[in-house]
Amino acid sequence: MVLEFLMYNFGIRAFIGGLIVAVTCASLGVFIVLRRLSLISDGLGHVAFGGIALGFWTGIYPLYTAVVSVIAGALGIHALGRLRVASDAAIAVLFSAGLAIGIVLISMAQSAPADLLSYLFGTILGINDSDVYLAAGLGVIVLAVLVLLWKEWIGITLDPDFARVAGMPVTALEILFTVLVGLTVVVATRLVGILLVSSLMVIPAIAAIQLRQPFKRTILAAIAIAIVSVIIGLQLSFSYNLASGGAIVLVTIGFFILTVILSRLWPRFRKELPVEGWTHQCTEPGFNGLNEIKDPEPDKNQ
Amino acid sequence: MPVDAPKNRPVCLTVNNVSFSYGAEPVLEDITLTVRQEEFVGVAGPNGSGKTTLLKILVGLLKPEKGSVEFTCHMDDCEGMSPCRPCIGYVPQQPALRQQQFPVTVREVIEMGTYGQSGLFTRLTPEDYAATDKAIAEAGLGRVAGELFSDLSGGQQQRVLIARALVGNPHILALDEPTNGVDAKSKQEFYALLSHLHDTHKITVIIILHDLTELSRMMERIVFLHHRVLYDGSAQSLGAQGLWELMVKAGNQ
Repeated sequence: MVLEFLMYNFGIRAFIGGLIVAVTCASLGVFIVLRRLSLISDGLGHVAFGGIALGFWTGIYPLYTAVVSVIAGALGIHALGRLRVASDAAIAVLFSAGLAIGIVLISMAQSAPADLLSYLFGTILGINDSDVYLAAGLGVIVLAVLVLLWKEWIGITLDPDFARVAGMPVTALEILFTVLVGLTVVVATRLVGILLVSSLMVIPAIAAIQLRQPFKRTILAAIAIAIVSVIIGLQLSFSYNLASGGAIVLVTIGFFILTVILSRLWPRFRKELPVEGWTHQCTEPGFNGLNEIKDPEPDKNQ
Repeated sequence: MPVDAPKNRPVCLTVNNVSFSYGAEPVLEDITLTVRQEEFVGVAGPNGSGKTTLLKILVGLLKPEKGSVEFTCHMDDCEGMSPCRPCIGYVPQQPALRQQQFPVTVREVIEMGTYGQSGLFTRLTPEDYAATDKAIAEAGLGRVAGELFSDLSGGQQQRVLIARALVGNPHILALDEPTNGVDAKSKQEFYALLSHLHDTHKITVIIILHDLTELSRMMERIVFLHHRVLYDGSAQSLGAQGLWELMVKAGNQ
């Protein structure tokens, strides 16, 4: 039976949580990939691991400490950038620090908490109501900021120098963007796990970009791919008793392969597209547009 | 050298003793310039002479190590901008947009030019869309407005970037070799448009060009850089021959 997991409460929770994560991850993912920051979600995932371990060690709900740690990690990446550490190197440092802190804290707890594996590999079919509420709350915040600052995200993604000259606070926006990625990592951690959260963010985006569509359509395609992947992945997980996070990510990789094949089957050859001459529709009285601009002298080289 | 700009125009920007270096290599040394409102200034010099660095300092992308840049024109229009300065249309030499294949249409790129008009948390207005339509029509890009930017040729992409710089009705246009990769016919059309915009809209234009003939023909003033200002004055009195001689002199230094 198709979508039989929806007959159960845990399946409905997984479906709702999965949709929230799919939409949030895929929307941010397109910006992440185009800004060439594909590793940032992986790095912040490992920082979140350090935060989760801190939660276990202190007895605080691990996702709360994870939120604090990813915000600190996001600020840390930018602080290292200001010290002229290259962004990939800064991510590598934070990645290592998060993992090392997590391992040390868990070793201090003598035995690894039983719940730890669920954060590493995700248990979308085992999430409870509070996980769904947290995912919904953080997801709404991330999507609201994404929509409210839409033109700013396009500006810093497509041409940060131009955005800076236009008066946008590019550095502040870059920090905020990294914090949003961190929050999304936390949202997705409980569902697909720290080790696969990066995949859910970037692979639907990379697959959508292969389709070579305008910007908004690319984001919608990434969201669609992520949603369908979550649904198919959940069903596969339910039917064949597979790890849900892994099943979802494998479906996204299937979509990626499909879009690569599609884009190669129907290539858009670089072509000389038609462009007319410069004109100027000036509103000043007495100006008659292009006719008033003197014709250029013929090019002697032609 | 004396500056041959009409003295009755108000000063728009002042570069005070600006120096800049990349590591130990000084690129700009003690540059002092005054650009008056509505001036048409060409910046020339050999490769690596600091032209692009100077333009990036003027538009605020780089901070000078020493000295300062001060804007004094159109300061009534900069409410909410920090720091307060006139609206600048910028065409960079190597924009990020041309360095990878973004899924973005010509129209979406030109719309970016309106972003400077509105503050944070705002959406584009019908006026912004109308300004975009007008810029698309003026640049002759109507038939490719819905095409992906990366599908256009180099010259066509450059034309889109120029249209993006013009769409916000800037007070100052800062152009870094804007006709790179543009065919000869489009170059001539672009120069005609630039002259027209300057003459009718009273835009201050600062442009880096390698084309010495066009520089001496079009500009009212030329600043010749080779880490320092070697010439700052009338383009007519310098002429293309004078520019060549400066190039040779800079090459021998």
